[in-house]
Amino acid sequence: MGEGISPKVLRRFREGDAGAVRELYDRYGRAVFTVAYRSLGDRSLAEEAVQQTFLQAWRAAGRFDPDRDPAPWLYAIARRVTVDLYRRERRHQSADPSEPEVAVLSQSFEGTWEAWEVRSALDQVPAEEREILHATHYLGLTHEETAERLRIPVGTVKSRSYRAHRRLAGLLSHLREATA
Amino acid sequence: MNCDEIRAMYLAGETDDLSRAHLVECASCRAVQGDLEIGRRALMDPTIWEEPPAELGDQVVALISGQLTSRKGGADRRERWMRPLAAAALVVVAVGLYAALRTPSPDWEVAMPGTDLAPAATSTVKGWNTDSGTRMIVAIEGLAPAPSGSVYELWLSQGPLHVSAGTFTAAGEIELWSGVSRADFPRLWVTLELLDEDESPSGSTVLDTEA
Repeated sequence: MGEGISPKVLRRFREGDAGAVRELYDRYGRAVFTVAYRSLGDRSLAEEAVQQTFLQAWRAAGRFDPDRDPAPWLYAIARRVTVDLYRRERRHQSADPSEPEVAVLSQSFEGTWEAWEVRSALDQVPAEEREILHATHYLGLTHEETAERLRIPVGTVKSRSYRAHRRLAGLLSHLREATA
Repeated sequence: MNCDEIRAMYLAGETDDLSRAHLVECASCRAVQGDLEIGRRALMDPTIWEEPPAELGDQVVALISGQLTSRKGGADRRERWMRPLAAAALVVVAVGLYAALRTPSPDWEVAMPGTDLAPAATSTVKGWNTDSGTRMIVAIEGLAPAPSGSVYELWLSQGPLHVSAGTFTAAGEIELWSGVSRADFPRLWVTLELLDEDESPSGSTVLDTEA
């Protein structure tokens, strides 16, 4: 979905090139964080999940075809890391050490791919448009209230809102197809 | 209004009679309506908007750089450590070859099958008990080459005591030596080892006489 990472960057990532690691993080780090935070509900655990995800990706990068889209691969690693952390925390919290391994995940693990895709799409929307989406969808503000909050004309809010939604609609149009 | 405009309106939750009529008529827009609905709901989810700390990217870069340095350092250290060992091994091989030529038939032979980690792998180990130690020829088939930064390592074990017989990187016919005898250390097994500072066997066993 949307802009990916070039095969050249993925090859450099495999070598541990700091610039390539940063580029991959900048493109997918927030999506990894979203999956982890949504599933675990804890910021510090989510940060640990992000670090482990990129470390495991780097260790496994030699077996990944750099010509392929890395998003589903990174998502799969992120989800596995998150599940492992969830189970680790459950074991630590369990009063009875002989309690069997947690087989059932909490509901927070559902819909993580959609969350990944939406976050990933948001990261491709320019910041000035993203703040309009945040104000109108998350904060529930009207265009007028958004204009007041951001101290910009209502007309600017409307035009940015239109561009943001049009861009985002294009990025999300194959979401279920990607899920399948 | 075109499809892009209608979809933007739908995502924004700003549909009117005209756009609703378009959605009813346009199969292409109806096909993505579900995606946009998922997107619209997700935009109200606070976890979507939660930002990671600004320093997390630097931490990820530092973590991987640190692993890389440690891996390279480990390899260098192992290389330094292995140099005198390789020289000593050459002497042992020369002595051993002489002994082997005198006794061409192996003193023992054992199958070392692949484990769950390498189910397609098979191997046999032929051994010669010499005054200098145990000379072994390991014939391996069906084992993938060791990934970059890793080697395979042959171990001889007696319970919890493990003695390395050397490392290699790919299947084939490999000659390895050990200073202990198989009579005392009956188990032979091969692990996949990262080139790091840890010189004990990893848990990644690929071949094992006890498999």
